Amino acid sequence: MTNEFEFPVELKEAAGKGAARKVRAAGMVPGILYGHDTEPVMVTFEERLLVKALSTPAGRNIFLKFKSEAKELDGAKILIKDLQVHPLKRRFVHADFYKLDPNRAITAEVPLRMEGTAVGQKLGGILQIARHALEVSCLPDALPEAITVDISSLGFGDSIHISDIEEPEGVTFLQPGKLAVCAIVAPAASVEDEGEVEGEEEEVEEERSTESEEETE
Amino acid sequence: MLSPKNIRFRKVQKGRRRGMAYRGSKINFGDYALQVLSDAWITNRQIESGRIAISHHVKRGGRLWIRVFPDKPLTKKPLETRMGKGKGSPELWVASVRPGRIIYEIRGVDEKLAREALRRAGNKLPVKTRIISREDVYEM
Repeated sequence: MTNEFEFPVELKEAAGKGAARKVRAAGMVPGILYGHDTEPVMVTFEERLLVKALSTPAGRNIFLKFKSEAKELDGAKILIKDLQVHPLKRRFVHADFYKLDPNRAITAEVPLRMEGTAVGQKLGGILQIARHALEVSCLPDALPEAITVDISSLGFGDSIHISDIEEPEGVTFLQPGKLAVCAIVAPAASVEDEGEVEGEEEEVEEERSTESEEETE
Repeated sequence: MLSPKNIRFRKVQKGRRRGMAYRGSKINFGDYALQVLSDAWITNRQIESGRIAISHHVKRGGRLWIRVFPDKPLTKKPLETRMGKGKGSPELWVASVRPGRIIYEIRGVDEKLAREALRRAGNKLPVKTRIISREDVYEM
């Protein structure tokens, strides 16, 4: 079960990028709180507290308990829905908070933790992880910190699919069961250039991501 | 060496690299990544050189992803040629990267080895770089 973390926030009055920039210049981070049957409320908070909250074992799936002088914010139980990070400064730019209703199911991403060393790995295979997290639906109290997958019995060429993982109590996986989670693959033969040092074997596989083709400038 | 298989236009205009890399700035495949801190044209030779540096250091195990592709042709005029008489001929391929872009990702090796391998690869690139990790709170 996920723990609660006390999280002081303040109301943010003005909207727009000018106001958000002022908030950031003052060392705070702007955010928004929303939820079912709730009007969206703009908030500000200290970045170091968010970093502290995220550093707990629950990671993104930690429940925050808002502490504020504003009535509409105080005591609210929150899940972090989205985080925007500055690509260069490595600072949070904005956060989306989702107000939880204990009787309403939520959708969240739960990280997968691989347990054990696969038989195939001992024989020189490489663990290829296709999915680092699973999309789940559950009541807030049933949200697990992580889903553990035992990979110790995997041999060469074996894989684990979502359907092979047991759903924790009260949790439903939202993705199709046929999707692979991880596999043990044989190390690919080296693809060295002719100009390279001869007779040296390489087992570092290379793969060009499909994403790289997206950007054509 | 990386280069496109088919191209529509042999020569392209220079272009500008404004802003930051909002795309391709998060770790998607590996556990550790090399991120550039300024904009640059990274040639296919530099990408290859970095790849070799990583694979030689890691030796065995692990998996490497190259997150950029040199799809921009650069032209050069022959030496001792007078100006004019048209644009030069395509000489090399570059990837146009903006600050924040991830160049390499690696997984399947321990942290110390991965960081050293990426540091060596960073030395082959014409830009300042840093190494980031999936465990970092900013990558969640």
